[in-house]
Amino acid sequence: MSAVVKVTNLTKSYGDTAAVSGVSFELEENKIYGLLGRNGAGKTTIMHMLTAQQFASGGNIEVFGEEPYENESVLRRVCFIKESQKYPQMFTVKDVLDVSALLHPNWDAAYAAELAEAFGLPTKRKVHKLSRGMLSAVGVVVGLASRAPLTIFDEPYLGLDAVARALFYDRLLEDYAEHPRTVILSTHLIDEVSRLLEHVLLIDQGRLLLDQDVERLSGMAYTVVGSAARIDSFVSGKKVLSRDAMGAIASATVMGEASPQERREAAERGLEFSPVSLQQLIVHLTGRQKEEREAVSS
Amino acid sequence: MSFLIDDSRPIFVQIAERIENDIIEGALPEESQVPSTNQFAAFYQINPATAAKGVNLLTEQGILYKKRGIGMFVAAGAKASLVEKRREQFYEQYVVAMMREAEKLGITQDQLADMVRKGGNKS
Amino acid sequence: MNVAQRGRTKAVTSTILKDKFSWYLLPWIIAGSSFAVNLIVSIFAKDVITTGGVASLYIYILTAGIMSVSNTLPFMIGFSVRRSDYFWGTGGAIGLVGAICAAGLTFLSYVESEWIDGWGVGLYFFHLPYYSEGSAPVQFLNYFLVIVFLFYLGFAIACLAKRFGKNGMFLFSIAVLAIGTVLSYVMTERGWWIDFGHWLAGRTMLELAGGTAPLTLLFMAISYALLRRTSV
Repeated sequence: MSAVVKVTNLTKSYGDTAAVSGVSFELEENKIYGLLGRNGAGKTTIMHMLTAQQFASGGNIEVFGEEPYENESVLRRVCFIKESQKYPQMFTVKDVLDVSALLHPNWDAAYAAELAEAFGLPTKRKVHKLSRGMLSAVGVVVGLASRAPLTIFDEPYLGLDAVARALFYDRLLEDYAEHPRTVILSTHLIDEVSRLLEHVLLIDQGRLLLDQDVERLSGMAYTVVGSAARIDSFVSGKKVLSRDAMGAIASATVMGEASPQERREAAERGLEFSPVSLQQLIVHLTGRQKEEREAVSS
Repeated sequence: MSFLIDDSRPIFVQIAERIENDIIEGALPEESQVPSTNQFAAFYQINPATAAKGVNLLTEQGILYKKRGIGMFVAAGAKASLVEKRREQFYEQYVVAMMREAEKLGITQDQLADMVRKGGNKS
Repeated sequence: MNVAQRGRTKAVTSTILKDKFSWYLLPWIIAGSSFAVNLIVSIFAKDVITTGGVASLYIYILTAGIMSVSNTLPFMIGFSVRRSDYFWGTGGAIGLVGAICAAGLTFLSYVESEWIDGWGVGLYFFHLPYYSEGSAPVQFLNYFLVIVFLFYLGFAIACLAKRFGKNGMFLFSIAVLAIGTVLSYVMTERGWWIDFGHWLAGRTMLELAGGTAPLTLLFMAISYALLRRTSV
């Protein structure tokens, strides 16, 4: 499989502070990726560098095998829907769609019109007069109808209600199935999108913490609940992500997979197991102290 | 988000189980065509690759087979072999768990047997 | 430049010109209102009035050059447009608008001088002595060169602001002020002002307008270099 994106040792620093440091990953063709992490982790900076909108301080970026900077053959295949996208003062929604048609070779105008209607977009209205949700919907329509081989959505749902978000996920899956492409979804609403994703990149404090298939992640940790003393003996020697206690009852989230035998033995001692969702796992991984985090990623 | 899928186990395993259920219950008769992975993906709102993984799991077990250019079909004898497999799992999955819970609640084995009989009469 | 690249440059031009009001109408509304004010004044004035009110259109073009960058650059870069395509696409837009404005001004100057001499009230607004000398093509060229020059002056300043931010602009303003002060001091000291005045008076309008061309090219080169390193 050919790599659509290949990033090696990517670094971006502002003076002494590093926004992104030493990030390396590859994205394969026609997969849906989740670029996850807390606000300010460096996700948006990475996406800006991938699309040559910001300059890297170090490292190497290849998109479709070439450097993206001022590279027309790369950029015409890329559609980046930014949360902070600016629009010209006088532009109407229709103007945005018209210009998108000129810039994206795979643009499907009929599909764009259908999407705009589905999201209830007033196409004659000025973009500057749109609500936050409607503004997000403009991005969603452009991102889907562009059918760009590399489509990047940065927090595409801001201001969208649950119904509109579900519509976005529906349309994304539907159109992706018919027109496969590489999609990067950057978000912190992890629970909502985790099932859409095939692979996850987790960025934390400018570093790549996880680069893993979603299926592998769902078995990466588990939570065990029971009497405090038994929990402590069960988790000794294991990588504990978090431990909570309430009276005599304790719960611990443990990194790794419990063997069937371990589970049986623990169940006999009255311990209960529960799965850890992707969102919970990421909260555990990114909500911790620096030293602990380094222990996990090593 | 589809409520038919939960986070307790890998999603592709749950997809495979849903197809298995449909075969056992007769909703998907033998030699009938199975929905495409894209249809599964759209219906359960999951990544098509995940749906494909679930379908592949059943293909590897010989439950489904591929007709080139047409799609996936339920193999002959699939239902019987699935029922056999499920029966093996039944003890582990239901009986052992039931005994454990009964013990916790102080239900004797006789009382438990009575309950099972009563449940059997109801259905 | 291949076909696909030309397509993206055109996309930039059409993006900029989508704001038809600001590019095709507003210059004439501004020049027109300046004209209207002068017309009213000249109705009551006894003397023939020759006014430089057309300058209002030039000032508008200068501000348009400044505004254009913040209005369209972040949008276009965000929509996967190359910086160089943005630069040439902008050039296409101002080339077209400049030509339309220059043609309009040439036409009005002709109308004013040949058909309705002084609008019946002795107002010379579009056709000015010295300024409007020369044949129609020469006049057109004069207008066009000045308009493009002013646009790129504004454009270069805006690119500088975009590239280096407020601090950069602050340092730049101080530098320009310092150089200007030193230069005018030296010119006063050596008595060069008078020579300069004589030199200016000896030029034709075409020579002066043509003199902006190297500066325009300089501003273009500066803008291009700044744009290439601008991030959004």
